[in-house]
Amino acid sequence: MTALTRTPVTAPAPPSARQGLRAVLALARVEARRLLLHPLVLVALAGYLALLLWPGGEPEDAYPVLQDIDRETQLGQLLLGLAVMIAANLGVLRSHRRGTDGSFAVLVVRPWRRTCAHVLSVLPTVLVGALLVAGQFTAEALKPGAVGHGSVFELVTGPLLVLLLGVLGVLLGRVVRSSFAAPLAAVAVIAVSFVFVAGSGSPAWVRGMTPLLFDEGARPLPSALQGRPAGRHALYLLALAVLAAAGAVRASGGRTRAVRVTALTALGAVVAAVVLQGTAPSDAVREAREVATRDPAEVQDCERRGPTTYCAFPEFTPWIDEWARVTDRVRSLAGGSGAEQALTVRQKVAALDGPSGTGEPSPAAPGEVTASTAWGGERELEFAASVARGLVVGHERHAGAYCDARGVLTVWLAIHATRDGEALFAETGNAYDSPGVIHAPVTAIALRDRELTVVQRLLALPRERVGRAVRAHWAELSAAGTTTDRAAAVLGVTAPAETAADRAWRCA
Amino acid sequence: MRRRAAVALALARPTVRSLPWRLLGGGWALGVAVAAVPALFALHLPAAVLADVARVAALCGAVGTAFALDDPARHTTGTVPVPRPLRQTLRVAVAGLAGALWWAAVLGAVRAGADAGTWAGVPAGALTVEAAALSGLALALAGAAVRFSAVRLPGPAVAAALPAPPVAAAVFLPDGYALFVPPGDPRWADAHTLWAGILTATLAVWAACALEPRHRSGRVPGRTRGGEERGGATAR
Amino acid sequence: MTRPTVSAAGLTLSYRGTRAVDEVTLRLTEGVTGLLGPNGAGKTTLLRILATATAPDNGAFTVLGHDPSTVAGRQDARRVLGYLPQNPGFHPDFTAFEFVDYVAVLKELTDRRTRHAEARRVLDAVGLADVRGKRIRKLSGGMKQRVALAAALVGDPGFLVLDEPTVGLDPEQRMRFRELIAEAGEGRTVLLSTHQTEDVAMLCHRVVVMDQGRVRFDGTPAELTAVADGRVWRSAERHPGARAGWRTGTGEFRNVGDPPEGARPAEPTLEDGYLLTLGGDPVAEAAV
Repeated sequence: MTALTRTPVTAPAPPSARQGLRAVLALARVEARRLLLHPLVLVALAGYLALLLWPGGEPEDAYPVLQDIDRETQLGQLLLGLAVMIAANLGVLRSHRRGTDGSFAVLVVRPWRRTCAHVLSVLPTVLVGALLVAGQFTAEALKPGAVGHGSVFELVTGPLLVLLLGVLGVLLGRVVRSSFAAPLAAVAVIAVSFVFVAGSGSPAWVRGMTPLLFDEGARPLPSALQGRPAGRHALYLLALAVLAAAGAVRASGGRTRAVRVTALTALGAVVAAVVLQGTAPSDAVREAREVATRDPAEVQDCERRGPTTYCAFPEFTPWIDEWARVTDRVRSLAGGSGAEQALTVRQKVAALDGPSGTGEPSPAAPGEVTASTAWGGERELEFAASVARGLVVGHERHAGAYCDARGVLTVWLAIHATRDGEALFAETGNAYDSPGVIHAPVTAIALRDRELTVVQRLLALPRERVGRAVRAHWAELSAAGTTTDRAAAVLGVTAPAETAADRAWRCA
Repeated sequence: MRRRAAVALALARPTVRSLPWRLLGGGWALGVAVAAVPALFALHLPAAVLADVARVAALCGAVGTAFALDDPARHTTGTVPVPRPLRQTLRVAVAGLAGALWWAAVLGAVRAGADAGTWAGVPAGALTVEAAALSGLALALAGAAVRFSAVRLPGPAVAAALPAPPVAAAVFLPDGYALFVPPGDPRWADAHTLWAGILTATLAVWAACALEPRHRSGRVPGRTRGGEERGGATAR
Repeated sequence: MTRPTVSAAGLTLSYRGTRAVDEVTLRLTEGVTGLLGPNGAGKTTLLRILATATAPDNGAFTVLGHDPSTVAGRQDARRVLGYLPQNPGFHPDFTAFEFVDYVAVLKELTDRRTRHAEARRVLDAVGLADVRGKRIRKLSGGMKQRVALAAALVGDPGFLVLDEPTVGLDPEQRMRFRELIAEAGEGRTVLLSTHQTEDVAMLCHRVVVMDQGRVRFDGTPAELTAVADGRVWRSAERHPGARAGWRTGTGEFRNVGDPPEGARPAEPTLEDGYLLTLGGDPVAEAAV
């Protein structure tokens, strides 16, 4: 009974602005914890981590190009953001759904301050997202095969996406009093980012308004040629998040001047960011792309090792060791003049369309072979094929399939010069449903069934035995006009008869 | 049986009235809006993208379907002689009928935004199976929520969780079991066998959950599910 | 003694290892039986079991001769019972008449004319004839509660299960509800769960007290009051030995518990008996 007896207490002081802020922060802490531990967010985080830590992966993953890796962190963050959006929305609507609106309406902390707390409550989850991005990128950057430079703006884009989507969830909760809006909004975000804008060649400023700037090109580009408006896009996301937050606060009754000024500033920033994104890439970047595509020698570093000169864009020079390993292996298999022939390995890009370009670089000058901007696994096989073609054929112009000894020789060399070459050769054939094709830089090297059969029969023989025959008959095998039958006979196997399908090919 | 039919007939009108049409309609409206984007903006998208547009519309519809089993009067009408499977089937049948009309509208909208040649590359039948499977998933989740908790309105939670499985499927499924494959892909037939399987499985889950449990069943509202499974009621 | 209409033996239901209903054995007869107990005593769970909304883990019961442990038996039991849950929900866009009519269909009244007549009858009976055509969302709390009662009364069930029907009603509405329940108890078996001991004192011919899933008392209201005979007294100060004691309007303390020597006894109420039952021995069952 004493517990209920009214004892005089010091009357609480009227709430000051400072106390209001303290209350908002305390509420934000509570909501942040609930948000971070929301089942949907936990599932998204678990899925994200599972994806990051999944064992295995492509051999190419051992050679990350950091200016591509940085934006690869964004997709997972977008998915995390969708979960955060729905969870934050449910958090805002909790009091409505649980029927406590009535009792909360008379509390000291007014609704718009509660909205502020909800907006702030997204931040710890954003921080977790940022830590994941940092961990993911650091792990990639520490790989021995890593080259290139990441962009801070690309890296912060992911966490900003989480922030934006979380704040949008809060805004939705304040505008539409139904927990049904957020899942639909999530579907709409998926539609906008994955279907409409990513799929079509929309103008740059329209693309810039979607959450993610997708750029999926054929091969990485040097970082100076990216020309992605990453910084402006990050600004766009941040400004949009602030605008949404101001809108949410206003929608719940926070009609102060500060809110209005914030909203207007953010709106201005959003418009500016959209316009600025539309101007990318800059003329300087366009010019640099032009130079890198048409005359790469002007901007490359070269290194001479024995008869081979390796020229790479400065960021990619760490890979010269790898190139040299494969090149030396091709040369040692070739023997004779093939081992001594002077050769320049030049890295090339088709940068005119920017990072989403899918074109191939132009053929190299005589005496040069092309290396791409990707390495590892099949890329290694492709490079080996490029070098072998340089030694056997001597040029990269597309002239059709090599329906003679040169085709057999090139592919045999490429396979044996590559780690796990045989498996990679089978894999690349299966992946594109085109057995006998190696997607070497500039032009693919394709074998007809007849030549492919000969190569497969050679692979069944001991390598040393075939290698001796190759070295002994190098001049004959690498000459145009030596038939497949002759090559097979020289190397100790038989060639099958030419089929109707074989005759349909255009031969060089 | 005649009695059942008479009950079903008499229930048709109140069932139509009691469905949360605003929520169902909201999802459907967004779906049609998404499907109409290529037509409205004359985007001339390829068939693969149009198929994805239809898929997004289907997901919107599924989010709406998540609310099909929402029944605020669940407890008030919980102990009536008309069994739950009949009541739920009626709801699903009514919603499904309207949903079929909606889906026809979605396909019509997609078609309006495609040239004849591109439309020929959009396999409408197979996409319909996908849409039905997505809605089936919503139904299965909602049915399970009703069956294993005393919740009256499973919709909000189910709708919130609904985008997760398709996204997870798109991200995690290995290539050989991919669900969202572009038309013309060699995996198309396999993927749609899988889709048909999902549709069957989700409907089976919903049907199983619609049955009223004979033994240990409902929970007191406000309490969560008990962990242990005990034997059934034994007559003494 | 009258023949029992509803009888249960050894009903048990657990949640997460706690027994919400623990070996409850009951025999209900025609008339209103009150079910008293603190929050969490298992009243709602017991009511849900008896209304066939939940199946027990163990035990058996019959409702007007039907055994709900089989599918057919449960159907039959549901045809003869009416249930008003603790927080009844409605389709807010239905009118009161539409909703009751809907429940009538669910109770297998398929002939339109008889069904409409029945819906009108029960709405009249609960005094909602005037607002029949009003949407439920526009009705007051007390009116909504009456709609729920009307829904429970549809089909003239022989067994009526009412879970705290008078919660949140104003005194006048409560009076009206008492009238309704008393009327319903004529010729029917009514099980009424409540926190209002006055309801029990005024309505019920029998009272059952539950605590921690078990039946603590089963007898007439007079017998429950009698539990407190000689255990209520007045004093100038709160008596330290009292189980409960409060200052009344007269300025004196009214104590319930074990009185000291020479205490000035006061008239016990049913509530005193209820309080003493809760704290007392496991089953202070009076002879029935």
